[in-house]
Amino acid sequence: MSSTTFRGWLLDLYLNQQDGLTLWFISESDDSRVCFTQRFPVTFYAAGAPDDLRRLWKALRKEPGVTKLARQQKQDVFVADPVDVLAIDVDTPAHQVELFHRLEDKFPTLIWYDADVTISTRYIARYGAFPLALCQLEADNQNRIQSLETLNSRWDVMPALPPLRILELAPDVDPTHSPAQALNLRSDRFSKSLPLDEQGSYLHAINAALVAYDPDILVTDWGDSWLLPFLLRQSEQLGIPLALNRDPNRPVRWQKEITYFSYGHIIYRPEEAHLFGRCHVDRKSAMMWSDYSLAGTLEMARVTTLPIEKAARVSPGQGISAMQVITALQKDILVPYQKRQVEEFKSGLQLIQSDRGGMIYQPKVGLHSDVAEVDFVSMYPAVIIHGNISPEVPLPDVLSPASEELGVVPLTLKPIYEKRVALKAKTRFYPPDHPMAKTLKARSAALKWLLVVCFGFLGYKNARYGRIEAHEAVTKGGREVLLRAKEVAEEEGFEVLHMYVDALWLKKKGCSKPEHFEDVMHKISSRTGLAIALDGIYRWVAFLPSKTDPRVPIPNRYFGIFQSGEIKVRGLEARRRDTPRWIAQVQTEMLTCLGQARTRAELPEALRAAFQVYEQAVKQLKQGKVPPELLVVNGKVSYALEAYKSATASVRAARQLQAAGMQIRPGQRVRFLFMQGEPDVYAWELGGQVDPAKLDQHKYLELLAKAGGSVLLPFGIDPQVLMEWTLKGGIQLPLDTWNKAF
Amino acid sequence: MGRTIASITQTWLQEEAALKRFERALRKDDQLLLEELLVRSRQHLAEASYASNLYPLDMYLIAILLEVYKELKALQRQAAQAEASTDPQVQLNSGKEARFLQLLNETLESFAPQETLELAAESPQAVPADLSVSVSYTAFEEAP
Repeated sequence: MSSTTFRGWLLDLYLNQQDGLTLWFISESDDSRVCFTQRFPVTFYAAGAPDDLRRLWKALRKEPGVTKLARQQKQDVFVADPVDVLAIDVDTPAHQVELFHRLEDKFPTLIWYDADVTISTRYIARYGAFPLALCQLEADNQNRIQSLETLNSRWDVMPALPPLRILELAPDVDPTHSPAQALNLRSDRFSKSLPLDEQGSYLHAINAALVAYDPDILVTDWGDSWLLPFLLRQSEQLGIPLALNRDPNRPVRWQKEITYFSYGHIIYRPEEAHLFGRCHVDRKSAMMWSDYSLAGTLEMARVTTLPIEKAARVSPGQGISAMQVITALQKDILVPYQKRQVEEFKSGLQLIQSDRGGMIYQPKVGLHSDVAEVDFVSMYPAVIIHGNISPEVPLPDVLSPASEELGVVPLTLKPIYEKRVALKAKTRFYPPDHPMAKTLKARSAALKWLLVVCFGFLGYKNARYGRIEAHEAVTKGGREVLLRAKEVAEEEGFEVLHMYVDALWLKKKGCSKPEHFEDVMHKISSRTGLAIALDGIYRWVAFLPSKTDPRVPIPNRYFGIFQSGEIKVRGLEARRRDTPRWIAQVQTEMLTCLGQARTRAELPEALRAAFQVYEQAVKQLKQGKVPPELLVVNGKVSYALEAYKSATASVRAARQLQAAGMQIRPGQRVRFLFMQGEPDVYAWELGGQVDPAKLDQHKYLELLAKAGGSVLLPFGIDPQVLMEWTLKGGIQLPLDTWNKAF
Repeated sequence: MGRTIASITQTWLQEEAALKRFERALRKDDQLLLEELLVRSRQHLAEASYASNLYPLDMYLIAILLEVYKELKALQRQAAQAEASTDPQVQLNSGKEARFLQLLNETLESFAPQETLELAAESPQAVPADLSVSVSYTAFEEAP
């Protein structure tokens, strides 16, 4: 049998009942897309009482698809000594999945290992190949892979990437609000608008584009929830086949919608449309699209080894989980199917002392000038790596590691941490608006999320490599690090205005340039053992009090302007997802005006300009000149609608949608407008024209006054006075009081 | 992920709630003062959390004491400054060099009405050492 050598980038990989795996590659030499198959036998393990294992062995002896049974000793990270296991070799991954589910029911007392590892994870553990990895392979004349070698690493900072063909397909309007009239089709070669006619000519046009352009990635808007279901329905009704998949033998795979609880929020994920041979990424349901776009999604896929379609949609937690499994497989450590560790016994006092989060101080409320914000570089991941915190190794004594050999968690984190540092260093070579700087920033953001969730996953009850004591050791380390930093700063004569988990805001008379803070940062770094970086020096920063009680400082409500001109805002209305777009815009514009003040002397003028923006906005709103679509509130329902005893505005809007026959799931976003009279809200998804005259102007003025008040408060303007001025007008605002506030 | 122990803010709210019956029984003006006192403890929630004391109320009371003491010290400073404007000796101890020099000039003038001396704030050494004043220059050097 003759064999050929092929070099290309791995695009897609999925199970195949006959041969094991189907793999799609982008050729390095001629830009073609080539499909291969590969035999891929897999092994999983069972442990338990000798009698139970013998019964299992007897049951599997004549099982079709089982190629080998062997007794072995393997390492379970949570057990000191090697474990006796029965290794079960199965001919294909598809058989293994089916067999395991049967055995799990039949032998409930056995402990299973490597039983539910995804195929992409198994593949990288064996061949080192990950999404978009450059590979060299030998294949026979039927494109069956005989051998494969991966030529690059997922840790390459500037990897050679394939020339991806990206096709964008999106409706001309938000289809959840009003009926789409056309679809916009766009690639690097063409751009078309396809009217949604009754004959379905748009289906022919999409088919033609798919054949002629043959995209690798189909990027859509509302592709999961509206576009693909609509196209497939139309295709069936009109009898025009639509070949969305590159693999002609596969239909679109639908993954069910889910609602889940994550970090204190109820999250809803709609049904997902997955393709074979190419990837479908829906920008509207992609998890972190606004943070890291396609470049970050591809980085996430490469590093975590999750398929591109999955990497775009799932939380970074699933990525980090997959990476920990790869680390375990590569170290020949068993991957437990279910977590069996429970929390260790603690006394009440121990629990009170250990069950704590990061240090969050109350800032010194008011306006401060020449303030440096310094923060530890990925503090929790650094504490995990530095202290070797992993569920299977002895925990550190505050920050000093108790063992030298790195555990599964720090071993997984270390390369992500190092790659992020390298990417950030590379970013500095490019101007901020350079395309490469944007790409590097997006990739770095993707890695940041992986590092962030890794700490959370240590405390997640279902995480395979989670252990609450390890999670607590991280927060304990973090608190110690921050306190040491505070002590150093105060020893060096700095005033610590605020501390927030991994960041400190420092001020000292005469210190206003980066070099003035180098010494203290160096000393903090050497006393804590962790890297610390200067986030920037604020020309001025305002720490705000509580809206309900101005005597109470709020840790995460502040805004300021760096010497670079960049504005930093936290906890203000402009940052909230539910704030109407127009109100967020007004607040941002006001902040931009204030940001123009380079010195204290320029502040009164900037304040006047900010107030003019506000005044203008009030006028616009009162004259009904703000388009309703910019006043839409982006609400959310966290529970089933029947569970609400008193209905919030979001719930009232959701009930309107339910009455119109739409299904509302917990965690789903509900957009609405505040209206005059009854009903007092109008669900945006009901569609139709909204008369601006019927909007609840008073309510929107209130929202605007709250947003404006947050910005003007540090300059001595009482939010209550501003509210009265906004609603009634005619009150003289004390615009000169800012001077007292500084 | 979830915490077994209530957060420090939740604990604070529980402690506040526990005082409700006491607060209700207080006279209106005392109620207002109590409310002001309690708010002061919120300045030190992070420190109270770090302390992880079995009895969080202890930490809140110390936080209140600390804030009240801080205000007391601030008032003492203000009072001292106010007094300094009338009492020359206190003014010497106030640490305000410019005021001190102004006072010195006035004192020197009163003792030597024939020779009016103008001292620059930057050059206290310009004071002639042999002038017969009640306070010697070397003693002033010790002034904070």
